Amino acid sequence: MHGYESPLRPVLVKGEKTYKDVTRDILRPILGKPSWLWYLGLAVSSLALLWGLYAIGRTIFFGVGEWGINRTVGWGWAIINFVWWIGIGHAGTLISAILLLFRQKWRTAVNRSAEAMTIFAVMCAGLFPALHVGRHLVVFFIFPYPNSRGPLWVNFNSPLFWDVTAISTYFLVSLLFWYIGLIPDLAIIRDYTKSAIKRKIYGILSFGWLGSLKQWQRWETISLHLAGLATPLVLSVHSIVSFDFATSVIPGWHTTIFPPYFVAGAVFSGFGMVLTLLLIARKAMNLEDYITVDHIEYMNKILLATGSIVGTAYLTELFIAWYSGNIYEQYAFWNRAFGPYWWSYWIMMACNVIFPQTFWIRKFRRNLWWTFIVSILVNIGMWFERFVIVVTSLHRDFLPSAWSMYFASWVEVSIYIGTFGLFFTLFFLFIRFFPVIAISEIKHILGSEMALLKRKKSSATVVESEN
Amino acid sequence: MKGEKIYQVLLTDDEHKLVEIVKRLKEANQPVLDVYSPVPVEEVEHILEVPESRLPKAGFWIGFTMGTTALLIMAWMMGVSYPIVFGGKPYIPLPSFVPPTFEATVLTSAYGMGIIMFIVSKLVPMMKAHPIDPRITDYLFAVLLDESADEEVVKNIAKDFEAEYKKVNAPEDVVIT
Repeated sequence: MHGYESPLRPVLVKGEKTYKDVTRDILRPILGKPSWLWYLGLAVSSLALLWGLYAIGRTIFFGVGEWGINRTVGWGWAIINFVWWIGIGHAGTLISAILLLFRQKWRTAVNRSAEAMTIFAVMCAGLFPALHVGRHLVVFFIFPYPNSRGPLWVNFNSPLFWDVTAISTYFLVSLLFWYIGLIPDLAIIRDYTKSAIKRKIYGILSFGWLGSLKQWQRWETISLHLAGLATPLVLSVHSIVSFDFATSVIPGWHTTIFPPYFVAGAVFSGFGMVLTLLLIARKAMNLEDYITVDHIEYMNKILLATGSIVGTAYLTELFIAWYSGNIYEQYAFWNRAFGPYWWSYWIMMACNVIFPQTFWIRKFRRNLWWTFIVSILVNIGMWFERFVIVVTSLHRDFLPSAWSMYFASWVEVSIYIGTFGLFFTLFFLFIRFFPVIAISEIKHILGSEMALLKRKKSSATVVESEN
Repeated sequence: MKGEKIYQVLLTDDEHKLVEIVKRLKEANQPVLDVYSPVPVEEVEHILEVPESRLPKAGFWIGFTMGTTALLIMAWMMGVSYPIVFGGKPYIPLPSFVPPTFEATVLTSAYGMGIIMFIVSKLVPMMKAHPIDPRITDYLFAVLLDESADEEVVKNIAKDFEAEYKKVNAPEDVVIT
């Protein structure tokens, strides 16, 4: 049923593990006491979150006049950070849905934490549309509900409304997918722990899971079908985000290449963040046997592929601007590269196009330090990509008298820092109270992995004896 | 919670042995009430001829119905209830309805399947679990048989596969159909 297994494929779980070993290794951080580093991390991120809440409070109390935006550049860090966080949220569902449909077994080690990152990143992203509207108390006007204003409905032609539906659906479906995957693992903690309080809490969270025949059958069925539903969903979300720009008439935004370019960029930045965090987590939580160098290499290959798509999109944009013969379009791109914000364009180009290309070389793909540096550079580069798209396209208006510059205020920067606080607070709580690796899914592939390990060992012995 | 009953249980830590045990029990006409495992074992489903889940069909029809409903509601809101011309577009701009209709379909289909699965699989928040052995979620595979099953036959099979045999008192709803 599992089909042919190439003997050349590396074993995904290092060391000869049994089911018991897998449970013990992955539950160690949950059942033991956290280190001082965990407390320090949680404290710093909570402080950042509180600082961000203060800035959000100021924005709500005094209005968006607290921000650096002006009449010409009316969309600033709010939309940049929104798109950036949504992009980061794309790796989780890609790993859990698309790689599940492609039967990529290596996803089992990283899907749980990547899905968690998706959920937390979408929560961070969701803050920005609510904050940037200006009239925060009537933000619910975006939903089409019966009202006494006519009733006046929302404009279903607007990509901004599509965005609301896409982001809410993405968040809710990812949450369901993640939680259904968690239930069997929560039941393991319920039955494994010796603490009565933990047994009670995980008993509540595991919904009475027993691992019976029918429960597993339905669990597998729903996982597969949710993956089938989430696959077009993950592609639709960033396509719709790109429509926010592409359906406008601003030179630099009004291009048909945006949807695939945004989706590839989102997966690219999502994998950047997953790599950054997992490289730390595998070391700090002693999970090197499960998140192996081979896993890192697979993710680096995806980073290379999506980075190359993004690079090609940048070059295509430049080519089309020249080929179109449209002077406004040509100016927009000339201005990006050589205008007052030239530095942001070249940071973007270096981080997104040049550095990931080093992953063509195996040695770089398998070098953990280099991977860590590039993963951070990718996140910086992808933030600057959104900065370039938003700010450089807007700051040179059609009317030269309206030309302007945009610099973020401390309130905008603080809200961004606050979202980091939210993301990392949730992530620290997640790694403390939930299994970071999907235990049941690792156990599910353990049989075939151990068989592969034995085959490799026996063939190595044969070669040795022949020599 | 239903009343308690006595069950016979076979426990093994090997997935392949579980498959063989279930095969032997079926050959010996000893009806298996349920099987518990730390991972899904598809072969057991085939041996016991467990019918395929109808969740995908439910998901399809829920998504189809709710997607169509969303489309009709949007058409009514923009074309009938409060018609406005947006940039010269028609009152009922079907291409604009594609993204929200798609999202409504996916959302309702996913949650429809999820809720049905939770209900039929007896997965409810705060539901108290009664595992017949605490190790079945970790590393043991268990076969649950009725008290009326032939004890000697079952014990012989347990011996052949070095499986642990025991009798347990468990609530009737431990069997999930």
